Amino acid sequence: MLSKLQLSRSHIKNVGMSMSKKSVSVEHMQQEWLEVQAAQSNPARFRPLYNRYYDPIFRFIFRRTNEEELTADICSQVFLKALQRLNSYSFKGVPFSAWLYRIASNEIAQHYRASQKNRVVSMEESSFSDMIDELDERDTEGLRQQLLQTLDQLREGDLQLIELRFFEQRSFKEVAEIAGITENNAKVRTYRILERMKKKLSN
Amino acid sequence: MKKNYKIVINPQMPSEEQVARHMDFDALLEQLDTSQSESKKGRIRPLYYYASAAAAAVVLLVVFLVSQPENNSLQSAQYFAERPYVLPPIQDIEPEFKKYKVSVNQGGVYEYESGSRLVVPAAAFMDDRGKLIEGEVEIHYREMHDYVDFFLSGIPMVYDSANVRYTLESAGMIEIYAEKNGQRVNMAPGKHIDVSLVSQIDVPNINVPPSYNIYQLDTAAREWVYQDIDQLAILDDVLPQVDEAHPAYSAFDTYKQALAQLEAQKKIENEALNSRFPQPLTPARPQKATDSQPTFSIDPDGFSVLLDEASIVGKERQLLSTQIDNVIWEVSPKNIDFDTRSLQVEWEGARLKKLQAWEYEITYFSGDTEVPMIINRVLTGDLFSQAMAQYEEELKQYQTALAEYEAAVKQEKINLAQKYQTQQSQLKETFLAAVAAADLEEEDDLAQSLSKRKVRNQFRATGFGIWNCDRPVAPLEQSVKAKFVDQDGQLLRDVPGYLVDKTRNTVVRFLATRNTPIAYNTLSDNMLWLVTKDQKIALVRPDQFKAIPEGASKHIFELEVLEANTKEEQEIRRMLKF
Repeated sequence: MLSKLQLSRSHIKNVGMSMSKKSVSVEHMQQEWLEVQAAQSNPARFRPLYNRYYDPIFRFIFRRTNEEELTADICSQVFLKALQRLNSYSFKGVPFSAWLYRIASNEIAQHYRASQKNRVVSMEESSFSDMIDELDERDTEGLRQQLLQTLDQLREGDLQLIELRFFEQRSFKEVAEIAGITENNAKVRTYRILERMKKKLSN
Repeated sequence: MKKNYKIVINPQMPSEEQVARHMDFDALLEQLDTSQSESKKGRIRPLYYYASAAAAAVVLLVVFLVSQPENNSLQSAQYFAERPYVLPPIQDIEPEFKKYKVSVNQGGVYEYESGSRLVVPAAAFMDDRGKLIEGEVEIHYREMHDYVDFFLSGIPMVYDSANVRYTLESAGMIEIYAEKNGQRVNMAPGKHIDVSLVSQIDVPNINVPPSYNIYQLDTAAREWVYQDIDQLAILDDVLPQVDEAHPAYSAFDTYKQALAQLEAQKKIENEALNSRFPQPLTPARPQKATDSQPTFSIDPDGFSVLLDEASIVGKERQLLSTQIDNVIWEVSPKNIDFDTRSLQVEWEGARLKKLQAWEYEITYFSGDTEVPMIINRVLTGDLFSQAMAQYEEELKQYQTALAEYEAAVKQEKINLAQKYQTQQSQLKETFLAAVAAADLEEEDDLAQSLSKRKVRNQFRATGFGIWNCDRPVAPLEQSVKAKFVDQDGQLLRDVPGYLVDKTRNTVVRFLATRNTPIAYNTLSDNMLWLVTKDQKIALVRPDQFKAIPEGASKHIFELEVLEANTKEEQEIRRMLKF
């Protein structure tokens, strides 16, 4: 148990986000909306948002590329697109970061479509334990290998939910905001995916 | 089996420093600029594909236009659309700006020669990247007040609203911008410059002050944008300039002298009223010694203190003459570079002068050496408490006395002002009656110029550019289709023209064609001019407008091409005077 706790801590550090940073208050979102409005009238005022979100977006992309320079290129495209489309952004009760994550997801997908390479999926050792706990299975090396094969067969959209929830330890609320679905839908879809994975593991 | 994903277990995540190394917001902004300019270029390319279709359309249009009477509005719109929105007509006349150096950390208040004032707040400027400017910036400011200013500025005075094209009549216009090292800077968000623009406008009835709005010119969108209501205050009457050659000069001079006498009499009566009812003096609140400034006392033993006779009087003089050693003085923070050692020096004496309640100037002297210093008379402990109790009592007495004073004086002052206003009106009527009796042509002009008043337009400039205090005036109904020829009968066309009406402080810009609609005011004097391609002014004087037959739908204006130099504003003013 002690070992797992240490791993979890290490995982949070690796992901680069503390839990407190993940939850965004309504006041914070409204404050941020004011910053976005200022940037809509003058792109130079996007700087605070850029400084705030560069690191988490960079890490989000890195987990899907595992290459620093490539990550930097895609990250630069993400913020350029964000600035180009900023005037079309309007506040809909979700954090501004969710919009950036969606742009990042699209840019990553576009990169892999163009390069015809397999997309990188990053996970920590601890994620195996979490998923195996969630699947109510016994953690063995054989099961881990099976789990990897099952993950490899998931559709992109399904894998993204698993990644966000289990590999990046995000709340369902945040998973929903990034995926652009409701929180309830995120929960239902995630557990359906887990059910399907469980069936495949038992076969 | 074919893999769909590359699963990486325990990836080596980059450190914060590694991530930060890739951050470069300025480069991102540059990328944005580049992408925007490329996207503009991209939009031009498809036009090429439509060029052949467009060319065919143009041919058809030309055929259509040739078979039709000339369409001025189409030509005019095209002519001005192809040129900068602000289009100074005389190339050799550069606008003159007054320049003010502003310390960004402090801001400041700046006066213009017209009496206008700019209040610039601290930290009000930023660069294109949104970074606050520090140090000093230079504000460039100019004012435009009359039709000649508007004409020379090239600023269009039109305002489109609900498909109606109004002319903007101005109560004063400004252009303002700021530079740092020759580079334009922007106003920081949330900051503004308070503008108090003094101008002279026509106020026929002082009881019905005119109302104006504030508009800012958006040169990119090519339109005036409404900002606010003009906070307009009437200041004074303005007497016109009437030279000795004017037929009404004698009557005007008599009127002017009578007004001056009346003003002098009014001043005397006001002073008499003030001495009859002296305004109670506000008691001064005692000052407590602060801990932050050095305090000292004056030992009069072997040291002469000379009290200023004009500022130190009565009980205070008595106190300071007999008990100055009991008074505590505090060095005022107003002293710059105060050296405490100056208090240790053996001086021969000092002169003491009162500046305001509790504030004094002491000048120590010894031989030829003098050291002035601003000091405050302060109290400590019980003495301060006692003085405060006395002050509270004096304050109550003062408030009672002030109420009595206001009750007695207020109505008297109102009566006095009304009396003089009536007498001024009588003088003006007498003068105008004398002009009317002489049956002078200039009667209307004089009557109009006598209704000019100095006003103060107040507004907040939330950005740099051109700001106008004005009001939209509906287009005039009386209109003719005009053609313009010079003295030799040569047609003048495809050049900008300008029309003014003496009762409106504006200028209407148009394109001279073979078929130009000219809407003019039949109840006023109108003047029109074209700026020829060789930068000369071709003028139509008011008489020609008066000669247009009533109900005429067409008119050929014969213009006088002036040979005078158009390189100087004064010369142009002389040409366009009417």
